[in-house]
Amino acid sequence: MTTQLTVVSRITALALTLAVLPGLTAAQSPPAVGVRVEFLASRYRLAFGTRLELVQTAVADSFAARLKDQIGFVRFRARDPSIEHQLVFLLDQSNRGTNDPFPEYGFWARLEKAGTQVTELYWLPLRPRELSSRGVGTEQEFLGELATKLAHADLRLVRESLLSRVPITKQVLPWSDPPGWALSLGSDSLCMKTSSVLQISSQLRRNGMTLDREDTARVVSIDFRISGATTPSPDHAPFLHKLFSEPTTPNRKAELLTEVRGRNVVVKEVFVLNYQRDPGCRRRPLDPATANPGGAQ
Amino acid sequence: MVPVIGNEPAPTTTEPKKPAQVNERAGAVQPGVISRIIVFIGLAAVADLWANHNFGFGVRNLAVPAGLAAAVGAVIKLAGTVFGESSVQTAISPFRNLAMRFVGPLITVPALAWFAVLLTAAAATISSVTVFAEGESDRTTIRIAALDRPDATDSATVGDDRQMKHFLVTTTPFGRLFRVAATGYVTESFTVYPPMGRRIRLGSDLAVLPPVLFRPSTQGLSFLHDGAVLLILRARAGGQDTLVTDSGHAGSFWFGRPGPITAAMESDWTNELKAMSAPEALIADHILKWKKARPLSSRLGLRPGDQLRAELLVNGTLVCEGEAILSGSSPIDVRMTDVAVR
Repeated sequence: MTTQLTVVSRITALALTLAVLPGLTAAQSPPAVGVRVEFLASRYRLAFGTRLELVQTAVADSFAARLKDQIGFVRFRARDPSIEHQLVFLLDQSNRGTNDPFPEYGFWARLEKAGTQVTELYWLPLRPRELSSRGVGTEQEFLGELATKLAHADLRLVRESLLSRVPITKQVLPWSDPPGWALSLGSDSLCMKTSSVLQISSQLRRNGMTLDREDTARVVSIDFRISGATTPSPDHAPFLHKLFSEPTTPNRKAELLTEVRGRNVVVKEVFVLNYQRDPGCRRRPLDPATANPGGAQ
Repeated sequence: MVPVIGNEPAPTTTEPKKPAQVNERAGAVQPGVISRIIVFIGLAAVADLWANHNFGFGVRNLAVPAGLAAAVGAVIKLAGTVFGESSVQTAISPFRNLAMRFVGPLITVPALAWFAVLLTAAAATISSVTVFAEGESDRTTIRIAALDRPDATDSATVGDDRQMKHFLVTTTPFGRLFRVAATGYVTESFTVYPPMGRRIRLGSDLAVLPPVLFRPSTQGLSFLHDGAVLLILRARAGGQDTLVTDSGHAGSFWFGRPGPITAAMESDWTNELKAMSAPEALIADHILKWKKARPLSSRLGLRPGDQLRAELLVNGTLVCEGEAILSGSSPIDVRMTDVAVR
């Protein structure tokens, strides 16, 4: 009798696995973020005159290419205003609002969501004060200078202060064995290594009340699997062989175990706080049909 | 009918001509030749003086030919006393005949009359304006034009190794008005009468205008690197005159007669930049650029009290400006300031 049950359960598991295979192949893509460039400094606007739009476009393309190369947890698309999240690079004085006769010029980075500014910071110095009397040069010279700056630019600020506010997914499976969260995104699409740190934003239901909770989780596996004791269901399919993260503190693990078993936790969004890029990952080309133009799904 | 006697040919009425100026007796000069030579020399001397005064060319030193002629005459006279008049005249006869072959046509009465007429006509209508530089090192561009033909401008530079310039002008016995403009000096008008012409000394006949040094701001220098256009304008009732435009120079601009960049000026500029909290490297950069001043001159005449305005334009947008009023004679140092553009 026990043997028969074991056989039945294995057949059932196999059937379910086969049933979720299409889900495995049609993997979810990270959210898309638009990249836009605006020259606010009159020094640069006047220098390029009627060709300003073209230069801004060229700069946006080079920024998007550099970001794509270094950050995998969102997809960057230059000049696409339909995307909800926009990363806007503004060429302006570093000390805005002052009448500095020797201004430093550089790029401010701003995250916009549906046209509203989320946050902004001064990111990439382009011309220090000492060089404020030099000319901008021709388009080619300017783009060359920018390419040099960009090649050595530290993207950490953009990644951790701006892009950490872009939800990468809403499809998260709270898990109890071990306690953690399985994501519907794989390491191949996010180009993310273990030890990356995520922020899990969830809602808890306790005593008839709903509480918002922010958890910090560390990616511990890039191949989430269901142990033999648990019977896979179609709901598990999007998360199999994807990223799995755990709370960073033991106490929180215990709490999460209780919450998951009680089925009173719902994850709303996941953000990337500390991105560990996998340099050896094979990024799949962006499929516009599967990218999330509005951010996370 | 004329009778023919024997085979002798009929005697001809004409005889071989002798040189008109010389009598049969060797050495005797036809009466009046000396007088015509003197008239010729007199006319030539007047022409030489006129040309030398107005145009600066002619026989440099009349004493040389005059002295040579006097010496030759004295030698002949002395030889005549010693060897006898006739023998000396015979000896010099070939030379005299040769000289008279060339000089003879020039000292005929008609030739002398034409010479006098042409010289008078030229002296009455062709004259000159001679401009003298003020100092040996001042290099100044001079422009001269008749007021009745302002488009026909003649220009030249004085200074360095050329301390004066003759401008050939046409005038009338009643005079003709000319406007003389020199970089860094007040433009004036003069009546030029023949045959003396007009001599103009820079600094006295044309009063000195103060040179103006326009120093672009930091942003102005940056724009100039990228091809911004500098305009220097003069305010006038109801508008402005464009005095000069320039581009392609990222530095300062001397408008008018360039003056020296003194150590005191450099010191002032340094302090000015320090007061604005400029970085050391930028101060050095500015001093170097401002010391490279490009001289500019006005295409129009200027007067004391004129209000000048320098503008830097980028694609027609004003980005930097500065103003000065011409007064005194000391250089005026103008730091141009940024114009807020959004």
